[in-house]
Amino acid sequence: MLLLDLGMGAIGLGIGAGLAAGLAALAAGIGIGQVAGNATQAIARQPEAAGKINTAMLITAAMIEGVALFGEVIAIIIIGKVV
Amino acid sequence: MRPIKSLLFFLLIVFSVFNSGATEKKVASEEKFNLVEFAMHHISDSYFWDFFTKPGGEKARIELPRILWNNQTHKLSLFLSTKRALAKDYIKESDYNPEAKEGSLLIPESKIELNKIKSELDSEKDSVTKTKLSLLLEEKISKYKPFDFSITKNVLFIFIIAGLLLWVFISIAKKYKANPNSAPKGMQSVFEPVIIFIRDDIVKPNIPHHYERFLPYLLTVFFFICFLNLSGLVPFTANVTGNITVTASLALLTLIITNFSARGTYWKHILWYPGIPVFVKPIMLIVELISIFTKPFALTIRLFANMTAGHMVIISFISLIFIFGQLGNMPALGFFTSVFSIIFALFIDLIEIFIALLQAYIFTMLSSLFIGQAVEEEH
Repeated sequence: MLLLDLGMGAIGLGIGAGLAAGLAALAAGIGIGQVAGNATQAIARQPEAAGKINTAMLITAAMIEGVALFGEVIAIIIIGKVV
Repeated sequence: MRPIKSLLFFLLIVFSVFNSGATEKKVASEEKFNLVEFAMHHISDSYFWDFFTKPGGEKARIELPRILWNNQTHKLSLFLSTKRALAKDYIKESDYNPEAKEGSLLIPESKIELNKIKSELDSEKDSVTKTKLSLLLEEKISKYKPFDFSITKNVLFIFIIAGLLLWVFISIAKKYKANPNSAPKGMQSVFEPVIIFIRDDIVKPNIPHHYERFLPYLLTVFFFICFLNLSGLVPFTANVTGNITVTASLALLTLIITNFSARGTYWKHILWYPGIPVFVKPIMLIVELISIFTKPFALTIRLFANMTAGHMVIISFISLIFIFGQLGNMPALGFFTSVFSIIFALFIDLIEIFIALLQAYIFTMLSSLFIGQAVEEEH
């Protein structure tokens, strides 16, 4: 797939899409990593509350992932324009 | 003995993927593998229900009905397949616009005009006039597109899943009506714990008073999204919740229910937010008015993006096999990647099942949270 015949504008769009997707994944990783870390610490302190902590952890992880996927959607839209 | 048996079983599965090499060679000799087109075809809606490609290159597919409203002659036409619509003089848009979706049609009255513009475009050498003519062609195409109420793959699957849901829940309700005080058995024992879980852990904490008004909607939304998400993971089915219009309609329902069942306290909190200094209140007014719309928008995007991203990942892993098979004209590389690729794709598939259930839970929980905020009383 030769992308060289797409022109100058496509270079900018390509970098934009890559950055959008990459930064979104990075943000999701950091956010969910922190949630999971704190959740495991809390379970270590009080093993009886493991069920509730697990539920809260999963819900917040899904919220954070939802926000991170905003970036992915933007990346898909940009790549749709390039292709 | 048991570890050896399970190891042999695992090796059997892994080596059985080498049998898929027969179709890979054909792809390498025909045309270059285009990942974006492959992925988009598997994720987006279509006017046909494709099954597989037969050895001669033809596709085995079911043609779905078309319902078209001709906006020039104001007539509604109903066809049982796209082939019959083409036989009745409807024109394929791909004749004039190479990037058009397969199966998108234009009304018959436009044929003469579009042919004229296209012949002018083909015979024109000057690039400025060429651009003007192609813009004119695009404008005419969008003018002559009929309103499309066709039964596409997504619509067909919404009907199938709705039928499935109706059958399951009506038969469960009949069993409860017939013997109200006996222990549940069969399908009841699968769905009763889930319904009790939704009622006690999702709806009741968020809507303290009169939750029965909203429980039917929330239960329907949960099971609808859950069944649609799970059915999208089965091969040869449609990716319904990956269609932003479907998720937007569900979020729109939440928006309508929240705002039409809201009490005076809710609107008072939006327009005149209590507990903050007076000069901040106009800012909060704007923020709160915008947040009425961003909350359902976030619901839409969350469900849509999660499902689409999941399908894209699985498709990308499988396409790696084909990409590596064409790299440097060495199909053996394709064989080698297929082992790891399929293992990863299976792993992601298991995660996708979990995410399908989780997204249904999240949508229901947020909907009940918003409805609870709207109907809560003054405290």
